[in-house]
Amino acid sequence: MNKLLILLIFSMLLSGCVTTEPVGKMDTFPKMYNEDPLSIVIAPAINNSTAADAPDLFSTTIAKPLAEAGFYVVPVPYVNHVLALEGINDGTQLKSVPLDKFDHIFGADAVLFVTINKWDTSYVLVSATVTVGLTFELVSTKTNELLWQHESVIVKDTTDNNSNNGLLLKIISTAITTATTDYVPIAKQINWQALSTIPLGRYHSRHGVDGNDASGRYKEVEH
Amino acid sequence: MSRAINNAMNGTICNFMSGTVNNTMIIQKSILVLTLIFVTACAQNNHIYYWGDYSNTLYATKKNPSVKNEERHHSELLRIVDNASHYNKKIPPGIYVELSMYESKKGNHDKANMLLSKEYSLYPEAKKYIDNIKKVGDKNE
Repeated sequence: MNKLLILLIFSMLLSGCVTTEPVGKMDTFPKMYNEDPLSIVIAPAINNSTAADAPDLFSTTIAKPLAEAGFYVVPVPYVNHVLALEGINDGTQLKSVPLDKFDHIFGADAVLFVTINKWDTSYVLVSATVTVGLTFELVSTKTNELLWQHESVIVKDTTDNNSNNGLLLKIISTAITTATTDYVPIAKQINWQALSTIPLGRYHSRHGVDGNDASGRYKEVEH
Repeated sequence: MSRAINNAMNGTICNFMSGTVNNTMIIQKSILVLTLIFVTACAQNNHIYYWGDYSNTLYATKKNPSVKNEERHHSELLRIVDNASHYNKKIPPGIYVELSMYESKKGNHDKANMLLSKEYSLYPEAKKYIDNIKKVGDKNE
């Protein structure tokens, strides 16, 4: 009994010593502040999902939030056009391209690589979910350094929860809702969420003064 | 929306003048309405650029590729250029470049170059790739 009590008090003390604190953007992404990139090329997304059309659809969602974060975004339709002329349609093919090429061709300070990890629906009996998962990596064309990174998943429940409906009706209505749930609004939500953690670019009024804003990362602090 | 404020304001003024009882309630209501308006106005003001329906018309060209959807996106780009100043916003990066792509597809190279110059005058950092486009365009002529 005594031993248990000591263990309990000890563990309470231990957990009392360590707390988590949010880490600011400056501490999390210092290279972003050193390099201060202005012009960004968005590479065609790397698709690890089973949806073949995901990169194309995703490409229509990302320029706006990135520009609103204060960066010059080299127009996506133009980038895709140039890359297609070179036979590149998939972001995976770009992984082997030296990054300074993006500076040479597009005058870009950095390249944003987006990986689509999830873009799918799953059914378990009568319930269903639509999932979009994305990883963002901003890499410098000058130093090849990773400047900013974020990973995010949103799972949207598309199950019919109307208890008045019978089982068959539930299955049908869940299927309809799931099939018509668009991935794109979910992707847009992830974009805004992710880009709230990026140190803001030169066209944003808070450029350079957002070092203490939340970066979405936490550190453990011992007292 | 603005009619709503006017009504609320008029209501407040009238009641002050006639000295009826419900003054505080009406003031509270009009404060609420005004706050709501300020909040929505602030939400819009956070954006640096005027985008119109850009994301949706671009999305349509990918989801259901067709001449009609391409034309819709083209006219949306034109609308953004025309309306940005009306909303007190800037024209987003790349809009002029997309417009120039439509013109060069039609063979209107002078117009395409003129649009590229407009992008460059808004965003000097675009110079490098715009020079590349113009070089390729000259070769094609």
